[in-house]
Amino acid sequence: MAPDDPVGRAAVEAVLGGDRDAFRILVEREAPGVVRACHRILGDPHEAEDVAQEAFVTAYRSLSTWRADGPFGAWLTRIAVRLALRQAARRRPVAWIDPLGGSATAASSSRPGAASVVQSLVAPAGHDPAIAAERGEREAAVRAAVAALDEPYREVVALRFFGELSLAEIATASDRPIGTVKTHLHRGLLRLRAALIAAGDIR
Amino acid sequence: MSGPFRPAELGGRDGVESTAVEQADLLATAREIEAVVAAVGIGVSEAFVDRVMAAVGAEPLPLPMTAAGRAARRGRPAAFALALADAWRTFWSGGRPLAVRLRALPVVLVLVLLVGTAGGLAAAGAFGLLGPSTPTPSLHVGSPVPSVTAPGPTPRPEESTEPERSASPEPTDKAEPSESSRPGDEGQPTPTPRPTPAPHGTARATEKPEPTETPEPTETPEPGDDDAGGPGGGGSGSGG
Repeated sequence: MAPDDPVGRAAVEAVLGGDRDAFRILVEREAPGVVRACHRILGDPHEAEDVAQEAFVTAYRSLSTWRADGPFGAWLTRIAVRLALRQAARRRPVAWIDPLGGSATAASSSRPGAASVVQSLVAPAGHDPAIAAERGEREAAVRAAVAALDEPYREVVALRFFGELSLAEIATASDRPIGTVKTHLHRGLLRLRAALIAAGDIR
Repeated sequence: MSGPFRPAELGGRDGVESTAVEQADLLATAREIEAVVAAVGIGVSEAFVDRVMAAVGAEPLPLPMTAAGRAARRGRPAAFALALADAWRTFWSGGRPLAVRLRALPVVLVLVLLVGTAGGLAAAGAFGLLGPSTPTPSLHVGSPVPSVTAPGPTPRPEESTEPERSASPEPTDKAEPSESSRPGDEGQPTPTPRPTPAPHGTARATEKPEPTETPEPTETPEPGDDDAGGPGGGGSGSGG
């Protein structure tokens, strides 16, 4: 972990000193990571950019509360991950109709027929649509299972894997002891596994 | 940045003891999530940064004072209290840049002032209850103030409406006779353009007209000049 972030610190000081354009430095530096984290949670690039923008604006509003005891990116990623998880939780399950004769199935994680048909229509040449569809379903199932975890396990798992933060960075950003973060990740992964097994997504 | 998950991350100092089976489960679950992570490409649209900066441009500067002021203006006591708490934390907790902490200083001072005032009032109240002689002057002072102020407003609206109506005709009545009668009394045709100075003195018209208008006839040459200038202008027009 980078204990200090001199560039982030200088940029934040400049913004708080009245130089609003200094925030662009932080946006340009952190945008790829923040958008990527949101994309991993939500699975949709456009929605991810919207949530990432909201995260930047939220961070800007509360810029004076950043303690500068860790990387600015970790603090910002935590805001973005929380917003993305909230957005994911807001989603309503969609009923997918199986054109091959199956009954309507609920939840985005289980849509066998429609996903296969759509994938077969949009998949580029050279890719097996069945494999792509299966992979898409699996990814959606993992995303849904992470989003369905209870707090604080959900946040720790999302920050570690989707936000790509180290455990020390998570501890600093969330103001928790490192031992607590380790415990939360341990329990969170075991709960996630149990949920995936229960849903039949892994064996 | 963190690389691929290793069960050893969870061990070590302050770590979690886990069995070999648990470690295998943890690793398998982590690989499932990492498969999702690997599937997502790195892509930010070119306009994203500009979009964010445009959104940020619509926001006020992120100062604790601004947040507290905005909450107070919008009448949100919870947000105001939160802003005060944020400012307090920003100022007192270590690790933050000095400039950031100084920005929170005004809010902290306001907070100290509020707490100090409340404490002072409470102390004064406590002393007031303890001291037997103090309540009597406070009651004497308190009782006449409302009795004087209470009847005050009731006649004032009546007075305020009446003079408004009577005041507006007064200037017009004064202005009209001063314009028509004074030049007419002097009987000079040349001062007829002079009514223009008369309106200037509308407010003083009743007092000043007699002394001020005596020098005016001496200024009659001015219209004469105007008359001279008028044909000159016409001449220039005809000449053209």
